[in-house]
Amino acid sequence: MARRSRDEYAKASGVFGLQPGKTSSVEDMEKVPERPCGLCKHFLESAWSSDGRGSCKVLKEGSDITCDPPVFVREGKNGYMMRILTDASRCTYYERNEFIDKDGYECSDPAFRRFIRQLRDK
Amino acid sequence: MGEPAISIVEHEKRQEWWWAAEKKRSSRLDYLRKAIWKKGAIGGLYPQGLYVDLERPVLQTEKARELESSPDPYVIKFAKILAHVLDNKTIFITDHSQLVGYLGSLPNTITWDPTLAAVLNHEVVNDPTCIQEPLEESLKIISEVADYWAGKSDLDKIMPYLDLDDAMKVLSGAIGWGVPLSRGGYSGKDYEYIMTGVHAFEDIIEELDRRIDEADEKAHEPGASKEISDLYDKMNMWEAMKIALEAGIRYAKRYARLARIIAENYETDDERKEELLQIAEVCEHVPAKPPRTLQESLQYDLFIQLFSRNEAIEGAWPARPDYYHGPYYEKQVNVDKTLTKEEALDLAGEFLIRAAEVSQYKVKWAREGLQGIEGTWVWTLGGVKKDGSDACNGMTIALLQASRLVRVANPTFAFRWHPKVSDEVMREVFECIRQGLGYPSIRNDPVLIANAMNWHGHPIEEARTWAHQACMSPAPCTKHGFQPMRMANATVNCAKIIEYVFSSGFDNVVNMQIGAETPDAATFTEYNQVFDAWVTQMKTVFSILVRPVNRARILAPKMTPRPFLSAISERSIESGLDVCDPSISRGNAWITAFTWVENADSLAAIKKLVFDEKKYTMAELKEALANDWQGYEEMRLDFVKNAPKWGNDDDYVDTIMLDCLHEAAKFSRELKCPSGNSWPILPENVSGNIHYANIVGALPNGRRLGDALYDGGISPGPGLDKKGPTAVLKSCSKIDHISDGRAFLLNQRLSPTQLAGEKGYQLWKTYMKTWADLGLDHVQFNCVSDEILRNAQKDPEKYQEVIVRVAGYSAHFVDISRKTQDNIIQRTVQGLG
Amino acid sequence: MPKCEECKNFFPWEDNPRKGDCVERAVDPRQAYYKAKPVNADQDSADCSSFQKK
Repeated sequence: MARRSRDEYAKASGVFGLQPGKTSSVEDMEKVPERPCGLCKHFLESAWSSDGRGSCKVLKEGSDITCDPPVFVREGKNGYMMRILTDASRCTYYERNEFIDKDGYECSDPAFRRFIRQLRDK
Repeated sequence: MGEPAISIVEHEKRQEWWWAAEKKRSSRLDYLRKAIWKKGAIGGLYPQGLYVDLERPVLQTEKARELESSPDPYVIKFAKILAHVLDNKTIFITDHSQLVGYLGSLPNTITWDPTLAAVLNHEVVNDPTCIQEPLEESLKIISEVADYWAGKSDLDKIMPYLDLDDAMKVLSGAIGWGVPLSRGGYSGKDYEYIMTGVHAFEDIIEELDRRIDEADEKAHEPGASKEISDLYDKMNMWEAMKIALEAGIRYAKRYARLARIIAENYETDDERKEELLQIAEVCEHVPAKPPRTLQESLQYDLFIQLFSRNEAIEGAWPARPDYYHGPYYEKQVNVDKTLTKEEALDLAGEFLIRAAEVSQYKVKWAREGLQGIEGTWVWTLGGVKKDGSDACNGMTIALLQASRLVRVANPTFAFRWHPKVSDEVMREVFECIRQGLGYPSIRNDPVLIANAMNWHGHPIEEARTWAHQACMSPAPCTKHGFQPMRMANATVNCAKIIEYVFSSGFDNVVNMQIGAETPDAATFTEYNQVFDAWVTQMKTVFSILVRPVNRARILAPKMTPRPFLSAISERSIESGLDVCDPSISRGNAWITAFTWVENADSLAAIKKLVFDEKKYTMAELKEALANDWQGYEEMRLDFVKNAPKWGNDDDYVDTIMLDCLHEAAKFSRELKCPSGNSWPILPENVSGNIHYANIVGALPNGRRLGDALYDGGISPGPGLDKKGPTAVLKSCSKIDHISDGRAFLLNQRLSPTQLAGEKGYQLWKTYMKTWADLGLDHVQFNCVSDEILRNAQKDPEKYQEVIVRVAGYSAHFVDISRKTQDNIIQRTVQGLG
Repeated sequence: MPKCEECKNFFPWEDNPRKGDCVERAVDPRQAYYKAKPVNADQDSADCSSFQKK
């Protein structure tokens, strides 16, 4: 098995420790796009996702919905990694989810909750 | 109009132990108990009213910035940052208190250490409940701090040096929790060195000075060698240790000064003035010098715990408080008569309260896995001394009695039972269980001493000093035996093992190939093929989690040093090496096996229904699981109801359980920690069974995605143990508790009505005799009626103080999620006798 | 411009009178306590709501 490059790993796994992705300003951190990935039916929280990370149930590794035009990869094994607040306005697979648990005092359910401060009133 | 006053006896009759306790405890304990700000998360979120403390991260960041251009090596810079926090943080003394010290700046703050991991810092940024208003102002500070530490934090530094394939799988959160850091996990302590009244901070500083001087002289004699080269590192390490200890002494003196200022300038009550002057005297003496009294001993211990948590997030609190504080209790209460039993009880109760308050901001998976508490502060009581004689003493009883008065859910106790424990002590233990605390859990001392010698080769005198390093795992408190950091990511979500048998290792929940690419389960024609695939998946998953820990242990001394913990560890003082250096540790690693029993029940169901009775094919089963049993309800019920289940003394499934354990044990011997010792498994859950409910897919035991997993260890599935408590014990006794694993958690629910009065005690004692005779190493009890638990769900305000045993820890019932509450109620109530 | 050292709640250190502890009484919904924080004697306390002239 050929060893993958560190960049590839970082992209595929969302290991942000490898890509320190700085939180540059309060303003940037508070930017909630109209269609954030975190509110989509296909967004999958990882156990770590209150730091903002997740993957897509539909799109696979190699996709990029932030570029113009977006890249949609449907074949492959690993899911496409993104963040709760990734702007999905260009994603044609976006489907807004209806949430059951809104107060966040239950344990995480990847299918039903995206509880971070920025989405509190969404 | 208020309700008429109810007597203590009436409260006890109604099993309202918390109201009875409130009336029984001293006014001081009552005030201090009610003063606690509970820090445990409810579900995944911290309760309202708590705030992330921004003082500490600001102090750390400002000092780190200042030191950027300093010529100091990293370990010294790190020690200076610690010292800067201790010198400048806000301190406070609560009214009526006799013990002082808290991690945060104010009682309702949760400390945040931004130096650990960018992921943790991002969680703080996103936190919905505990960022203090005005929000914008707080967010500005948080983002500046998070920004500064991005790429500089421990995890960011360590991660590129791990195998990236493993790192990616670990961070998926699917198969394990925790990260491989020496400053985030469970830190054992060298209590035999630091808590035996021989060494305190000033003695150690003197020793460090001597060693630095000797090394310095040697390093500058004519000559050159690796040994001389190593001396430079050692001198840096010793210097860092010294900085940490000196800061600790100064921190204590800050409290002494504050206590004096309050006594001399503000306090008008003469009695309280005396108490404050006493606090001042205590804090001037410890931790600089060895304690002389019980109050000093407790204060000394508390300072050590706080300093250690100043340099690391410690998710556990390994301790043996009766053993190490007992001599001071005996001297003052029984010999010198300078302290009454009641006064000692107040101190013991306050010590529990001070520990209950400690809090450090944790990531969501940790909050969910430890709902309602701050960490597994499982304190070890009882047991034997190094010579094998009974170690119980007056402090054992004082702590047990104090726990019933203050009724905190954390710390809890685990009691090291052995045949020489007196009836007086056993009655105290029983009283805690009967009164619904959920603790002490009972540990079988002879079995666990033998187990420690078997798995890790600890000599018997050292094995006898053991304390719980976390919820369950014994670790000696000796120079080479104690483990400075148990990195939590060798915690396996074992239900994934059987799940991956059906998906050839692909994780359908987190969309990632994690397990081994075993052959398509649909093609299996014999049970052995299923089991072989299970063994392959087990080995793969265990290895993925163990390898990063091994790697991080090797990297820790240079990349994530622990100067304070090293400074209170004889082996580091002596060697000049960081406490995590594997070369000075015997090794006491273990793999925590969450969600273990699902494997045995699933394999038994497959064997019986697919291969013995041939009612279904593997292809059908694979399809049903892939569809989360939807459209296969009848088949699902067959797998639930008509397959044998663990915990009923049924050899069919019990043999499968043993097969699984034997394979794991065999592999544990092949897995080596960097000290060269083995990695035995330890089946237990905290509230991981709920946290993982939505991460584990459908299983062949009939479970669907989202259903709670079993409550852990070797406990049967809730409601699936239908043949009574003896059958449960018999199933569990088929396991060899010395050689099949490091320890095995067993939850049992007992009926409070049945435990009433002397008859209740005798019934329990008989049960415990059977348990001991059968050689089990652990059992813990929930003893709160369904009625009370259901009432608490309906009217939580009225039942704020009801405590339950979750798994390796206890929590207030109202502080855990509804799903966890339901899971506890579902557990079978065992009738004794 | 008032300075911390002019405040009733300022307690200078014996070994370095240019610094001292700012001691305050606080009461939160659960407990009452005294808190202390090191400050410089010449620190500007114009914006300090707890300032009390000695």
